[in-house]
Amino acid sequence: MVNRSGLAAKGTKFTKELENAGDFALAKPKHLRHCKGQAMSEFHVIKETLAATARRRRWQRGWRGFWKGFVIAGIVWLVALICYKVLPMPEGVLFGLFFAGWIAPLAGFLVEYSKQVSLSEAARWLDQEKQLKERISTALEVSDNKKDGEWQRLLMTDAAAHVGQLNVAQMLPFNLPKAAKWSFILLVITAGLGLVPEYRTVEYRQRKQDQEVMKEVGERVAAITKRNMTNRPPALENVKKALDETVELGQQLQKAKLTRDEALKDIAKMTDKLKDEARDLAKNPGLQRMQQAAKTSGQDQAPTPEQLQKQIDDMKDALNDKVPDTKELDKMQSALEKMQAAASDMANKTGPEAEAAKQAMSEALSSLMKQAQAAGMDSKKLEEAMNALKAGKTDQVMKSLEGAFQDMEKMKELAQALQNLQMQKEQMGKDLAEQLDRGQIPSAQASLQQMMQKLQSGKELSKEEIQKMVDELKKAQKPGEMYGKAGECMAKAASAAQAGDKEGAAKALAEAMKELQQMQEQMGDLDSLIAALENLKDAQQCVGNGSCNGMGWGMKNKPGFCNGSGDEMSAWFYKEYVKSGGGGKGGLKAGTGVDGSWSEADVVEPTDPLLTTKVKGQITPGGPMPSITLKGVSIKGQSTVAFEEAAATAQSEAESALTQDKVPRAYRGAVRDYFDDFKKK
Amino acid sequence: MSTQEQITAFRDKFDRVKAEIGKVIVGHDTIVEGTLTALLGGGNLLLEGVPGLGKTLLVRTLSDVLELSFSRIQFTPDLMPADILGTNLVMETPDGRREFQFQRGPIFAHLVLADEINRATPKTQSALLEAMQERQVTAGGAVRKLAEPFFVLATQNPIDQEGTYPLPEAQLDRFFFKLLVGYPTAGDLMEVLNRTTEGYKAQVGKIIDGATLMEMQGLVRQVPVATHVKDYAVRLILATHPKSETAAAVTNQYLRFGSSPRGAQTLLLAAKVKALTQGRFNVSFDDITAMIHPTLRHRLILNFEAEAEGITTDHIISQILKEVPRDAAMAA
Repeated sequence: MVNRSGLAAKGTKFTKELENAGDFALAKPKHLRHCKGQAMSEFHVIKETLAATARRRRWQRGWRGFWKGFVIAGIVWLVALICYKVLPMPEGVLFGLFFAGWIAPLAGFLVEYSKQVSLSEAARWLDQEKQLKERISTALEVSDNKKDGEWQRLLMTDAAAHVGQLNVAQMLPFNLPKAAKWSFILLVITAGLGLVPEYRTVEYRQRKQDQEVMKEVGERVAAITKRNMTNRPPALENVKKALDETVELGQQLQKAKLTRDEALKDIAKMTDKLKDEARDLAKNPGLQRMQQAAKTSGQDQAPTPEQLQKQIDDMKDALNDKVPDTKELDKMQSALEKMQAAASDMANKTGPEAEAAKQAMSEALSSLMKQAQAAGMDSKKLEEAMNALKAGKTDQVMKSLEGAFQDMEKMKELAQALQNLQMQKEQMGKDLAEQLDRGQIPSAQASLQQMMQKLQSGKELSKEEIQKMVDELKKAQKPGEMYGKAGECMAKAASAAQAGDKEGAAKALAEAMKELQQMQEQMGDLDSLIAALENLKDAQQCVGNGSCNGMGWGMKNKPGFCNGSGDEMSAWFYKEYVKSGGGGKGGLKAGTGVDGSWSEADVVEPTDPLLTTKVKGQITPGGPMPSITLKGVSIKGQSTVAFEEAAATAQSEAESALTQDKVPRAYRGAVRDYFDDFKKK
Repeated sequence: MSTQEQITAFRDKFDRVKAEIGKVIVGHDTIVEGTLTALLGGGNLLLEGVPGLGKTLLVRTLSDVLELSFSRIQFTPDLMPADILGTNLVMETPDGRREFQFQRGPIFAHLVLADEINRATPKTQSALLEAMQERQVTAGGAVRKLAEPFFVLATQNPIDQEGTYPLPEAQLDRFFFKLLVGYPTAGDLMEVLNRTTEGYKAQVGKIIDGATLMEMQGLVRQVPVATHVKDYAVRLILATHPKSETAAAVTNQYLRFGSSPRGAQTLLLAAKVKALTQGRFNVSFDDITAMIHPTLRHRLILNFEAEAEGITTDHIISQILKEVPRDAAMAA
């Protein structure tokens, strides 16, 4: 075999020799030094041309490499897009490949450009391209041969003559190679394919939707639970742990790595755990009372008895210490309405009829004025009406009568509010025992605080005062036992007070207050658990239904929601969990409290018809229908609409909704049956 | 004389010899050029063609153009080696004594025409072996050097094979070229008729003497060849070796034996002659490809399959030329 590397090595050595020397004469190889200047010049021409060719070829290779890389990138993109269109490939992979594809042209350029083009290679390429019959390559090779002096010269002259006519730039233009055409075709196909919709199986789409829902659910569960924990930090370690686990569950769902079944299973497990915690807490009768009290008051923070008394006093002042009877006011209003009607008719009458009517109204007015004055009302408007009547100004009469009616209305509202406050005060309990019994912890705390202040004021208390305090504490001992050691502390306080140990009594009272405070905190924990359970319930529905649309999650989780204020959530909780969850007899006892207190009956049959209910049925024949929670808006207060009228309106609206296809097909039968039954009743 | 002048003289003489031969031989430019190439490469020549195509005339004309001694041997089945090489005869000396004296055969000439070489027996054919390669003969126990330059120009008839003895591979390998003399074209034939049937008598002059021819042969060997060109020649030769890594596909299919190293030497020498005659100072790929057919066609031994299918060595060589890239590095 011929040793080709020998030639290459020689060429490289010589080329390096030339390239390293700035002065050409210095670079002249020893074997050429005997040659004349012309030969050297010819060699220089050849060498320069070859160097230029080598450089140009290197760039051209890089250019072609770039386009080859582009073809590869195009193929990668096309294949990736086809895969994406057919297979459920993550979009991230597609984008990753898109960006990775750009590496190919760059790599193609670098790989090709990095390949050195030697002078020998350039010479051979020139020989081949320009059909120079290996003149250049042979001349380059023999230039390194010491023996062929004469032949060397002849070859150099011959090669230089041919090389001199070459235009390297023209020979190696930077045209678009074939690969560019293929790149363009691939890009067009890829772009066209981009417009084709992706094929995805029903299972995949379902799975994807589930993942989205789970992500959303997880986010909400975690965020809401965290927010609740921040607003109301849990007092009990177990509750804190349970809530932390709920947050973790939310975060896990957020990752959307679980299947639907797994997610439901996890949520159910967590729900059970929270239920257990809630049940444990709910067993405490003190908490039950507190919960019921909160439900009855409908307020987040119940006012203290002092505050309530102040409000009552203010209101009495506004009524000049005369509390009008609302029934009396109703009668007066009725009389006023009649007068207004008469005044209106009077304008149409003339002559004796008008005089008679005027006389009748004058009498009625004076009678009403007397009644108003007796009820403590301001009768100024009625007097104005009387004067206007006398002056024959019917319009003014009407106006004054209307003003008097408004005054009566305001008076009635004040009287009503006063009655409510008094009722509330009554519910709050008149002494510590009642406050504790009715779960009015803030009031009880305020009562205890008053006692403490009395004991610590340094003022000498009379025997009667001490005895009264002792009696109150003793009376409160039994209901206080519902609140941890509060009852015990009160007993201690009573004993100490009786023994004249004011300090000891105050200390025991402080401990009782502390116990009550702890109960308050536990109450907060229970509320947090209820809120978390509600969250999980919604999460379960979302995941189960595969959608959170129309769940109204955001609405329910407004600050203050599920705070134990006696809304639908409380009822739901005690119906769904506390009652049914093994609490049984040990949970809520029937008739344990007064009016607003809880009872089995309350729990089993909520009075509010808009409370959450579960409807079970079948959406499609043969397949089970999941439990669907239907909810309405809880409207508080007294209805002024007759029951029959409301029922008829609801029925009409239901029929209208049915005819307008607003009710889902699966529920139409149920809605129709409901109203049919309703009609029968 | 400088190399430049030598080269110029080379081309001039080559052209002149060609022109002189052209006075007698009509057409057959390739054959004439091939013949001259073989002479300048210092090798022997085998001309193959049907009778009447001017093979013998070409050699005779060549002998007229070259100022060299010429002898013709008509090969027949009864021709004996001694008839070619010479023999010891009992001769009477002037003093009356009798002694063996070597009587030189026709081989002792510069230019030997072995006409219809395949008609002689292998024994006789092999008498040429030593002369063709070592330029010497051994007869009667003595080695006798032949004249320099020495050429054997043999002819053979591809038809009428009855009573012929195909040349052995060893002998074939000693021929520089095997030229196939084909039929003349219409124009050439017309010219042949004009010249041979109308009393035309061509006069050719002596152009080159033996010494000049030797010088020219020396010049040929100085022509530089680039490594990659040599590499091409080597790869071509290696491609003819069946069952080897370098073998071409066609080689494995149709060849029993490939070319010997002598084939590679011949190829390069012939390419050098070609380069000089083209006015170049170096050998090109084209020179190699132009010379490969006459160089290798008699050096490749066909297998049974090729024989049966009527595949010729020329066909195989053409196929090899297609398969073997000229510049391996560039192709890579």
